[in-house]
Amino acid sequence: MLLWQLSVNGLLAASVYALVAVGFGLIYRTTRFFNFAHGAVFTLGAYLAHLLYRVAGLPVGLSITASIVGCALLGVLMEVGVYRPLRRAKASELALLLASVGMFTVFQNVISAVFGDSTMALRVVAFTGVVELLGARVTVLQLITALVAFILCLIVTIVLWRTRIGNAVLAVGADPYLAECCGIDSNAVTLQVFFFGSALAAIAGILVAIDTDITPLMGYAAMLNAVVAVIIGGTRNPLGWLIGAIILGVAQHVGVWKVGSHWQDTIAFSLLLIFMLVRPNGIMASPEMRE
Amino acid sequence: MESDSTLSVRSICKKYGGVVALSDVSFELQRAAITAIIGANGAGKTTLFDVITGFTKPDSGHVFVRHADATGASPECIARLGVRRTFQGVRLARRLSVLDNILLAAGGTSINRFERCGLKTPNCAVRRASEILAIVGLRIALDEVAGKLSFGEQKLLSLALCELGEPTTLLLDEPFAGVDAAVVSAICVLLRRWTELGKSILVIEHNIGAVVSISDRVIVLERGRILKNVKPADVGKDDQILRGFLRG
Amino acid sequence: MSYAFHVVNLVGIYAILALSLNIVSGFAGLLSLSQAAFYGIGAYSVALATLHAGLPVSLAILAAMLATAAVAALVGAASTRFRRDYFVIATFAFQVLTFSLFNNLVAITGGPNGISGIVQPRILGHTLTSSRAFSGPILALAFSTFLVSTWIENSQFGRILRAVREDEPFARSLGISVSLFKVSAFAISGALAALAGGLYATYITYIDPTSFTFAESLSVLTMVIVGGLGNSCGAVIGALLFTLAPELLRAIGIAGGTAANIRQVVFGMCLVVVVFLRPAGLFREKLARRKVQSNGI
Repeated sequence: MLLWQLSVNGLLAASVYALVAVGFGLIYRTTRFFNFAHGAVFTLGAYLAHLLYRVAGLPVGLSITASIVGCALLGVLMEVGVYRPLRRAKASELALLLASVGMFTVFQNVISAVFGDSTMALRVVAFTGVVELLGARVTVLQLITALVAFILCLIVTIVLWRTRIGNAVLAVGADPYLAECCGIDSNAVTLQVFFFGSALAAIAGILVAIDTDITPLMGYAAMLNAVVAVIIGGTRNPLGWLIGAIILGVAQHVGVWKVGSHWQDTIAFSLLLIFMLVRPNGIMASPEMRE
Repeated sequence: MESDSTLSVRSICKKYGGVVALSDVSFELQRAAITAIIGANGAGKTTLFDVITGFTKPDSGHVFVRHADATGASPECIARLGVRRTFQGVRLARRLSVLDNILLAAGGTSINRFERCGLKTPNCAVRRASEILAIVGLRIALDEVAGKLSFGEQKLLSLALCELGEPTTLLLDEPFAGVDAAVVSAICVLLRRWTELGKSILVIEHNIGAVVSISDRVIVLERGRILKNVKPADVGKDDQILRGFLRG
Repeated sequence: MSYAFHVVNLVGIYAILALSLNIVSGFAGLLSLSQAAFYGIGAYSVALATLHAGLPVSLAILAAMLATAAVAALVGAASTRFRRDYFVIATFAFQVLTFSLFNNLVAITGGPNGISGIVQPRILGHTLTSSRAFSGPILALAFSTFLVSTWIENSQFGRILRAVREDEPFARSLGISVSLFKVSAFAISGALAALAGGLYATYITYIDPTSFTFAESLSVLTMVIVGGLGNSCGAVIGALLFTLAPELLRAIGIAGGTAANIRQVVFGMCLVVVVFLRPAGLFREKLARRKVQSNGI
């Protein structure tokens, strides 16, 4: 039964990873570079919600919504202010990656400097309460998180393949110039992807903040997990990212039972390295990985 | 005649997904001879080059370089067996100087070994580099950045680099594409020099006139298959070949 | 006064680190986020070799360099099969993994508490203890590393690395064994990073995992990128700038924890600014030589 509880815990953790992974993966799919600054958006989501709810005393719903919108706008700002000019200057994907790493560092440390390094909490009364799920104990919040994550992944998959806007996103991801020739405004599409992706990251950050604690380093861990989930899952399909997140979450929680919780990162990255070496196309095959 | 063959290709097949790129391609290259491969776009010519030079593994079939089985070997291995190639367009170390490119191509062969350890390029290396440029008729400075040369100059330079490895076999991918008549004749002079030195040359070309005037044999590739393997004089007389080109 | 020597020593150590990364990321064009991992492996190796195996410091450093070169070669061999951006992720993964191992293999590394009381070097019968005493050796080694880097920069080896960076199929068509050279670059880079790590360990006499984090890898990368990828002088200047700057902040009295944050903010901003304004860095790579003496034609 312990194994079941651990697996369920892993699944619930996976739902948060999936939320971050979907936003991150979408941005990667569209712009072809790993946006490290996604982790900063995640962190900011939590801190902003905390600021508005705890410090400014705004009602819960408003704080959360404002935080999500704020972070989505931050994502847009990064795209318009940094990434788009760089792309216009024909910068390579590596240059974009470096810029995003730079921005991640900046945001992370500004948050650290302003809010301090101690952990904080965003306790919201409405979400306490525990339920039993086939013998495993889960909190109401974790259940909500899992449902939200699953539904969002499903929505994203459907939108990408079934709707016009989704197809536009895929087209831009495949070849932005060709997409332009077909009448798609690549820049506008990319903007929307950043808005939506960043919103997802903020949602994930807020959910984590309510469930556990807020620390300036939370974005770092979120990024690691998102990268692993996206690579395990294959970089094409949002459902793949969900599966990748699940594999990661379960492996971590079950593994940690055996070796101790401080090995979490090691497990994540060992998984990543194993997948990169043995099955680089991920779970859902993607032909772009090897040279 | 067997011992004269420098490169032979036997029953090469290659598929990409569902598309057949090469199907049962076989031929031999002789010493001191130029063989041309012609065919419409997408006929599989560059794929054939990639298979021969190790950039792609064939699904089946064999490549023999001087009777040694080099099927599926890495490009660098095949290069060291005495095969040099050029690429469609031009591949060079663009941001490096002409001299650097030459020193790279010379590897450890004709350039003074001490150069590799030194901080300054010894004069003998510079002299040899200048000789090479003179052979191809390139009047450019050794410290010129390779990427800044004109297209024709880059093409000649990449051919000069082929010479440096002292190869027995050369595979040239569309050497006459995109260059003016002066460069075309310079390249022809170079090809003649190479055949006199006993090298085998395999050329992909669309420029039929050039092909017919320089080559000893012409292979026609259509949709991955060898359609014909004829003498150049027969090319103009063959309806099938001409139709293929008008269509393609 | 000894503070000034301390700063000089830090600059020397970071110069070696930056030069080491420059070989892999500058000449070979492989953007690596794992330099701090090799730095740490070197430091821990020296710490353990001197404390548990009783090796004299110089031998320990030598052994550490060889061991780290081997590890780096393995990492290089495994990661260079990937496309550029996945390669970066692979090095990132290795960095985080190594840090995790430093932090968790408590029996070997002391975990978060690190290793203290590392043996200091003896030269001609005297044990080096003060910052001043270390300056000579550290600067000498930093200068030697600079010479090695310059030699690579101008030799056929460096030329080949650059060719591999510029156009891999072209290099392969010339008979250049691309994987071998990439792995060699990694090995040399790892060995030099270990040298820096060993010096750090025996100088500070205390090491813990927090000196070998991803942030540290990023710092070194920033030094090399701002200084100029592919330029030995640039790497040294980058190390100088980014080591002096935090010390300057400290001098104007900004509090400890926040200073670390500000240092990282500055690093991050510099990275973004350089990518934007001057991607080649402060000092461009010397690619085409000036005025080749072509007499004797």
